[in-house]
Amino acid sequence: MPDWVQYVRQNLRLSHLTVEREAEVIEDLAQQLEDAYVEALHRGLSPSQSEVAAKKHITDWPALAKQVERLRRGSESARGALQNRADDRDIATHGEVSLSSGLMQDVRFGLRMLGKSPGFTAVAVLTLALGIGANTAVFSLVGAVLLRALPYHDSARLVWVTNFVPSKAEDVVFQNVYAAWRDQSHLFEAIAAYLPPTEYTVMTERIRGARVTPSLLDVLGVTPQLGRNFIADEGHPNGPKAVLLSDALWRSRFSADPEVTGRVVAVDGNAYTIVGVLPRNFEFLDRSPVDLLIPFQFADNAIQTVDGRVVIRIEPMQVVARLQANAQTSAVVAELNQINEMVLRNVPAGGKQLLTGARVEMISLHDREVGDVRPALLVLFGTVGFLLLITCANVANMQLARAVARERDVAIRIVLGAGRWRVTRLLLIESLTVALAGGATALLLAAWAIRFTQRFAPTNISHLQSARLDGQVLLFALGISVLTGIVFGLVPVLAASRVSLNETLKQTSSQAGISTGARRAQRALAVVEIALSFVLLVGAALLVKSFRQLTAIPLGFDPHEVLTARVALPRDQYQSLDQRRAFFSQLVTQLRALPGVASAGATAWIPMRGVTMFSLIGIEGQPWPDFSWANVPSASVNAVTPGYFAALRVPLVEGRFLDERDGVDAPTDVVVNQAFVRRFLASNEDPIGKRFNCDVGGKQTDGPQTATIVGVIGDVREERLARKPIPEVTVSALQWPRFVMTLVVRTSRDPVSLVSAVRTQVRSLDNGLPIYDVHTMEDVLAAEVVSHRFNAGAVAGFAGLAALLASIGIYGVTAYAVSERTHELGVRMALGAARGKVLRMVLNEGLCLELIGVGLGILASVSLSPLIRGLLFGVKNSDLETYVFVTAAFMGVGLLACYIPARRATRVDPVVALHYE
Amino acid sequence: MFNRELKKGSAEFLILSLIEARPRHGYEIGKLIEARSKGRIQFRIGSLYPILCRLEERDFIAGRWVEKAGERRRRFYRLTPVGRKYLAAQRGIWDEFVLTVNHIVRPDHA
Repeated sequence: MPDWVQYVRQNLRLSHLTVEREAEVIEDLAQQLEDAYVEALHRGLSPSQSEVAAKKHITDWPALAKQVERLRRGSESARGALQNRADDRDIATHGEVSLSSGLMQDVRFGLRMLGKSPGFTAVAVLTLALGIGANTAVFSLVGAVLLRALPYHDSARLVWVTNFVPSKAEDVVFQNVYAAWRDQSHLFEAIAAYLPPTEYTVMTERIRGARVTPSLLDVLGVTPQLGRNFIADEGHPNGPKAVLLSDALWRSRFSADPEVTGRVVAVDGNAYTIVGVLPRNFEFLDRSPVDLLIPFQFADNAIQTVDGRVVIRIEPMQVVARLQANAQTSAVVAELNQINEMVLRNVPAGGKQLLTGARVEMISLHDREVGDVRPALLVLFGTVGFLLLITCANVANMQLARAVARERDVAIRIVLGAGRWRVTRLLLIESLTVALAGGATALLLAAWAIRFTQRFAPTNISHLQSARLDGQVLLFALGISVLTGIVFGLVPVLAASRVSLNETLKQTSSQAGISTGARRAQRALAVVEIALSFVLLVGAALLVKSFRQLTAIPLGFDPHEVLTARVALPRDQYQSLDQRRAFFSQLVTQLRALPGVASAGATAWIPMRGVTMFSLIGIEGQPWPDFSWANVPSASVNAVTPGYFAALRVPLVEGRFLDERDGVDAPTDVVVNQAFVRRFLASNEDPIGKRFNCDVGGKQTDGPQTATIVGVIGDVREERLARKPIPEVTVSALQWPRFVMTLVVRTSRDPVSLVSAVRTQVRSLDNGLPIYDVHTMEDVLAAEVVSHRFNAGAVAGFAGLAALLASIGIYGVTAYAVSERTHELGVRMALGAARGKVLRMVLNEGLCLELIGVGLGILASVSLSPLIRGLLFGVKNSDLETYVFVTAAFMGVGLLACYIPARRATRVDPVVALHYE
Repeated sequence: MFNRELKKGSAEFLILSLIEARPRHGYEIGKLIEARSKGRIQFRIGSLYPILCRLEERDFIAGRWVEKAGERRRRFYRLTPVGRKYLAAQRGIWDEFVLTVNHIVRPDHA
């Protein structure tokens, strides 16, 4: 039989059609000619006569070509068609062309192909944009926080050193230790100590400042932009009082006065001389914003024996040092441990236990600064990495579903003479184009996500605000886009390179299914997606549960409808106890009289904001123990005005609250919490009336007092939510009025509405006295859980997205399998299979994939979940409940994703199905 | 038998009518026209094919590749809903036309 395809191709000169359309026309005409030929044979003509008869059907080839081409279908706009044509011809006839010359053509071609299936392109680009965008945003945050060098000279040599006491899980460095390290170590170039920043009253304002040894700026390699650094003399007890200003403070309060050095300012009522201004880019340690540096003045010995009793006045300090260029970490640690031994020998008896069990720990300053956010950020990074894999799998799956159309496309190209490499390249370029479009969209998402994060992430993450889309981030986005394009593009490419030309070209479009290999790949991808998103969901569920545990902790007080605001009395105007006492009792009385106020009081500190005063406790009648750090008999000390406990609704367990009776002339009656009773008294002892020595201030002098317990209150979480309540002693602020106190006002309406009324009351007593740190108690609590909320929220968000993508994945696979089997299912039902059985059959297949995925997911979760142990509170990383919950949720969603297509399968009308080709 | 213009004018109508009941492939359509007209109307592939293309272009018909066992696949054309409406309208016009023309050329029948 003559080769009619060849015959038509030789005669019909088409130049304005796409390759696909041209092939279609040729095939159709060739088949008709063949029909004519075969019919002629049947009529009894000889083969050669038949051939002539068939050929008579088309005589005017140019006219036919013209007529076919005049029609728009299959061709494009005239210009586009010409271009199209040129590219196709090039690909078809030249096959392999040089990489560079054909590249632009291929890109144009890829764009056109994508333009032809806008639905697929849009979904693929958006899916990828989610994955790449999440990664780009997190990379930018991680880069800003974790990878950024500290803003100090040669910061790689900076270390943070401490003595860690394992039994108490606390860092202990005090004057004796620091002085010994400073004087005896040979491996430090410089060493410095500092206290965590706190607030100082500078003139009338509250300014954050830190006490630092004069050596700190040398250690950090920072030089003041104006004036000089501290000198050694200023670090000695009773040395000159000097102060360094931040650039911001210098500009805002001193109008950037170049003559500012030498001026004297009042800091907490004392005269300090400004010696210099810090550089503009100066950043203090521990991510604390600081506007003031003051010399940390202390004597080298904190432990003295007075009247045969050891008196310890230690300043727990932080130490940073610059290592000698060639110093080894292990050598430094060994040396410091040796020095510790000597310190211990010189400590008087009774204080021996201070350092027992302590060991030196040293980490790089960089690790110290980012240490506690590193796990959270790495978990976030891992999460978005998984998300990216899932998006890749999803897009690859979509590509595979599209492969039906593509396989024919590919086969035609190969038939027309394009080499397989050329076709592979075309497909890869196409997926790269999608990936890059996704990457470009991702940048928009990432820019938005970064802004969102900077607004809602916990504020204690240093340099978070400096995260932005810089060159490095763009490069990263480009890199993962290309990688993504290759990863998800590879699947259809591999499928394409196995295309069987004959089979594919023979298939009708309705019959054509994807090859067995591609189908297997599709299922494998769905399983991987399920496993990955399962891991993410387990992580998210653990974090959410941990967050809920944290917020479910009994606080020991009622934070609702409470307004807090701080008032700081200027030291020079309120030097006497009576002045302060009069001010605060008058203020509280006035606040209570305000409409809408249920109760009001003032306190030295409010819960959650940390405790700053501690005292050793010696119960009367009990021997003074020779204590170690593991077991210091100490309690935190607070001072509150009457009404404070009522304002916070702290429950009274027994005895009475402090009230007006506990005035200045009354005995030192105190209230303790239940933790105090547990710690210091035997279970059968009645705490009321017990007396003990403690270091509360008050009366006329600071110093040890004998206090009597008159009431026991419930435990309040004073420090961190996650920390167990510690023993606490509360003294009446009438006896011990502080300079700085926090007002606590319980209201019967929105607490914020009372802010101006409170301010007015303060002004009525001292015009010019501001209130600051104004918060509702609920805000204070929210700040405490914000990092947990952020971790849980971010991971849960990404995991939810991942689960959604995975569900779409399994839905797609099942739906595709059902559409492929419509005919078969119709036959089954026509032969009498019950709908229920067909439903089960289809469901089984989907659920099988789901089960394998979940199984793999459980294995992966079990091995990966220890990574987030550090972020969890009150829940174990192997929490069975969480696993059961996630598995159930997953199976439920998976069931739904399979059920929808399965149901459609049972609705198939057997008659229609049998017609269905 | 019939002149070229007459054939050309009615070709679309004939094709649409023939695929109304079921989809047919290109050569089959030509053969059916020939058979039903008892050989009086014949279309060669070269003339019929562009008309098929044009009808497809106007969405009156839709082509689809169909394979039967042991044979090469063929392109089958079926009537689209738009084509069906068009065909109905054409039929009405045709009937009226025939009636009107008959009215004129054979007045005794009227």
